[in-house]
Amino acid sequence: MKLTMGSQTFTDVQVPILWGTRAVIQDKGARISVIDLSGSTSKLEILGDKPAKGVEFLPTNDGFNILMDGEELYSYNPDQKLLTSISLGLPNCRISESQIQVGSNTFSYNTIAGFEVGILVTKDHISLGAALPPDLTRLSKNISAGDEVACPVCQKTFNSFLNLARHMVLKDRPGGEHIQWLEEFLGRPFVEFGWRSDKQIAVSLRRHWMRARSWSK
Amino acid sequence: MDVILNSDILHDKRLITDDVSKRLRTFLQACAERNHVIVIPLTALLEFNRQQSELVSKTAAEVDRAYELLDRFKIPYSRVDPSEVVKLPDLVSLIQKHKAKIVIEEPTLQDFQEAHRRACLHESPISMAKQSDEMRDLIIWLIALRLAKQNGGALLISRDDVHNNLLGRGEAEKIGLVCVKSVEDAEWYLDVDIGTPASRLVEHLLTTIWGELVSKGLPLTDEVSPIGVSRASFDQGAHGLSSVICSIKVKTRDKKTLKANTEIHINGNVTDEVRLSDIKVDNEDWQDGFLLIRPSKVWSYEADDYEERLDALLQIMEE
Repeated sequence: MKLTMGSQTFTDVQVPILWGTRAVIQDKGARISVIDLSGSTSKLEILGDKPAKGVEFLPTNDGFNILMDGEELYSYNPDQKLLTSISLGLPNCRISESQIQVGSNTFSYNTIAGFEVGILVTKDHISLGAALPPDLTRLSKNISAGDEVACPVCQKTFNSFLNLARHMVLKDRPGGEHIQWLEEFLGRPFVEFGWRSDKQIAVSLRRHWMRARSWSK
Repeated sequence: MDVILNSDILHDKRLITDDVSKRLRTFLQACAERNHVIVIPLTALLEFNRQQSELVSKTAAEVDRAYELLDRFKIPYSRVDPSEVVKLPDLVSLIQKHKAKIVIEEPTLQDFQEAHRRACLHESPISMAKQSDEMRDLIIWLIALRLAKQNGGALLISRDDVHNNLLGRGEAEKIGLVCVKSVEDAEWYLDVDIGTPASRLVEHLLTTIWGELVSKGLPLTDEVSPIGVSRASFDQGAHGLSSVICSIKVKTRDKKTLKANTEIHINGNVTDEVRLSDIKVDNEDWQDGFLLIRPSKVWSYEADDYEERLDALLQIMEE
């Protein structure tokens, strides 16, 4: 990849900025995209300053927060090109025309060539020029829109287990097919999980899915 | 407005190392945006520090035990004195981190004297039945009364019975002191969950089907009322927003509060399905608590440039 971003010139790099496990790339229209490399495929979370397809988000006064199963991970402010960690434990990352600012460090007019990662940002340190951490997937053009999960009852698809859990709890309460399925799955009556239990249900659904990759019991 | 927090609202079961709870954080940010001042009575701050100090001691002991275990198995590590890393959180900095204005309010001599008098005489708001001699609650009550009197009103968030029983209500109402038991109730009172980007978007979506909601019998006003939104999650589809799941609350035509869990499904620029469940009016079930509408209503919608943005990203990745 060859591009200029925040006044840095990145030549022959795979990922210009790696913010934790997320590749940060600026297109020619100065819009930012963020791709999570922690899964088996590259997952697009922000595409050109907007939430990507299949992403759970919450609009805010100055942009939006990216969520996963209801947990707010980080926020993005498109006007300031500013990524702010909410629960990732990473320093803020801001890409302006003349510099890239990571936490209290500022990078201006550097040329970074021949590295897998241009600027590596982790919880503990920042490096200029680094190898891609071995546990991350390589950035490829096969960017997925995130794993979708289908409702075991009506097959409607959701982009998170939390949304699936909420759908199942709300769909036909208190005694419909979805609730009956959940009662059998959780081994508990509706009255015990019908209110404010979405997250626990999401965790149970996720655990089961990760283990079995199927809803059949 | 002054928003006074009692220690039971600040209480956290975990040792706070980096930030207050997510719930409190959201509330502080909303107060900051609306210029409400967070007031912590010194009494509440001391209680908070005492509770967190206990957790500091417990955590430091856990670190020591971890060192002992590492020593026992001769596992090399770099030893750091637990007192250097396990520290008492600074509540003021934690609140300021969210740009909220904060004041630590010390009780005055008059507050002490009046609290002392009321405690001895079992005067309002202490319940005779409770036989409470809890001075701390009384001092916080008197600080709240004093601030409300000074500023023409204040909001006290406290779960304590002393602050919420009927005995104190008359005295509070006279000077504009409002007492609520939770952060959620405070948000409702301050309208901080109304007019947020999330609530505006939900309101915009519901505006197109408001008439249908009314015709289905929901006791709503004829004109769209401001909607408070919480626990919201929005999903992005290929052509923009595809669904919203949230809890809403809205004033009814007879000034009651309607709350419901809400699911809105959108296909392109058409609102396909709206599902309200657990519908309650002033905490009473509304009919069977459920309403489903399949409106197929077009809502005003910004044409999405997804393909163009994706092309721009792929182009830069190819270079």
